[in-house]
Amino acid sequence: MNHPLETIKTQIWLEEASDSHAFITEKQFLRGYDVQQDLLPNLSWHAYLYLLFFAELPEKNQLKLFETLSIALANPGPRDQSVLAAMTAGAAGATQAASLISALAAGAGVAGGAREIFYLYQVWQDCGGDAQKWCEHLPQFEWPHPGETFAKVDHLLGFLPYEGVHAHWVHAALQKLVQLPGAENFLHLQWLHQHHAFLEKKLDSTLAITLVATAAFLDLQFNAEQAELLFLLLRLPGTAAHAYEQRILGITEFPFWPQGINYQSAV
Amino acid sequence: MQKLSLEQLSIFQSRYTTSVGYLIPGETAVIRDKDIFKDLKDESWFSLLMFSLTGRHFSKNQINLFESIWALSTSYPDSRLWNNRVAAIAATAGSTPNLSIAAAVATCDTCIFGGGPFAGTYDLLIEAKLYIDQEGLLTDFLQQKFDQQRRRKRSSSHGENRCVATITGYGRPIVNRDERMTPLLDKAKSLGLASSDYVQIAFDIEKTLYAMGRKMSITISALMSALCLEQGLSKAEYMAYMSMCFLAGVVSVFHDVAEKPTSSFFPISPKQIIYQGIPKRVLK
Repeated sequence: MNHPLETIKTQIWLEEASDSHAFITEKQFLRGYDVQQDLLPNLSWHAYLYLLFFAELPEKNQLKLFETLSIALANPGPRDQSVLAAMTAGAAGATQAASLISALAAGAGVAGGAREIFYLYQVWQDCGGDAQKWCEHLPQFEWPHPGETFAKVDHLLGFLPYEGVHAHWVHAALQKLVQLPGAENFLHLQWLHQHHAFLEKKLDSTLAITLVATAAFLDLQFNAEQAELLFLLLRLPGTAAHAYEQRILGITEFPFWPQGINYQSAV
Repeated sequence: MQKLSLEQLSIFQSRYTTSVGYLIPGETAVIRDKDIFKDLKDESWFSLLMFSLTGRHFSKNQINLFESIWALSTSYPDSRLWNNRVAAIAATAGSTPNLSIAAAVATCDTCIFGGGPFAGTYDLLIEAKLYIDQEGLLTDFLQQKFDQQRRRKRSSSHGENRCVATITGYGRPIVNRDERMTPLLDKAKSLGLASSDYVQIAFDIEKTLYAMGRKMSITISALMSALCLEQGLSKAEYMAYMSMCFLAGVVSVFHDVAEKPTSSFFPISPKQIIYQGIPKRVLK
């Protein structure tokens, strides 16, 4: 008995089957462009990535911002929780995918991870450009919708969970982003550049990359969920490299804290 | 909001304080003051799991209930179900069991089944009980929830920023009746664990919804949450315990698909991709 075929609807991708085999794709089109003929020889990786999310190619200045942001995010470094998780899988000799899955799980959360970006979109919507409002809102932030399985927010979103204002590489990254060509049109980044010192002083906290990334994603016109996804994706390159390095070094070279468990009887 | 001090950080740097347990290499492992090979050697896996997770000893009937919640409610080996399907697709692509099952378990955190409704119903029942304890009427409580739902403009089934319904655990999109309700409720009754405030409230919500003209029948996640609330599980304990509740279905589906030729699980041809985007064009 023949059943009607199930279908997948998409505005992104068209495939044309080979004349001689219904399950082999001869031609691929992204947003109407022939991938092999048109995009492969002409587009940069970031223009292609942008086109996956938007109907049209980015403007030159947007593309430069997207590329620069991607470099700023590409390697969170071996102290970051997502990279630590990936390196732990690597050191254990797990599959390569286990390293990336581990990085995605640890990098997804509300404490420095992708869910922080998603929440910061909400904060930006609630507070806009009113820096005073940010200072009042952030210490009380609570995700208002039911069924959230991520942890409760227990630090100031967009800031490090440590005391005080300190020199941080993130300041330099923000500085570079607002100096890019056409940056006068990156209104969220400009606002953050103008107000981060006020926010840091009032909140007694140091600016984190999550808030800078949020501003940049907003200026690139990604929505909250797209930004959450891209924050996960764009941090994977460094993660992969660090995980692989530890895989080669092996378990004996990786921390285990032989005396590290301070067991306290519950009785 | 928390801020870690430098002093705290320097302590945490080399020590992790815990009461859960630790390994003594070459000897044994300790779980909450008990030696796994001496004190816990006769425990069932589920009993061990619940003790390790909570630090509390549960009765035989309670352990039976916790296991039955998994067994009766979440163990369907249907490869079309979304979490199972992730394992099936990974299997047909020739991946490893652990990778496939990890991805399937991750796919149990959704707005329509698994983690979302578990968290949502747990909170809903606590909120409803508080409201009733303060002499409030369930009708008013539920009406407030419907009003919130209307204002927030977020759907559990589609669109941007999806999240669980404000009255999650009631009403199923395709078939209103949840076939798992009677078996699990009967099981809980047979164990003497079905008569409680939270179970009563869970069913009162259904009754009230019908009286309000909303044909939203109770679903299994509301009953599971009610039963676990009654056993004293905190929300964090409940969510951790439920994290692998779909496992029996997932592993069976993975194994079944993995035994078949690769790429044979519902293959998709280019014709099945319906393109609705910008017509063909040339890069300028």
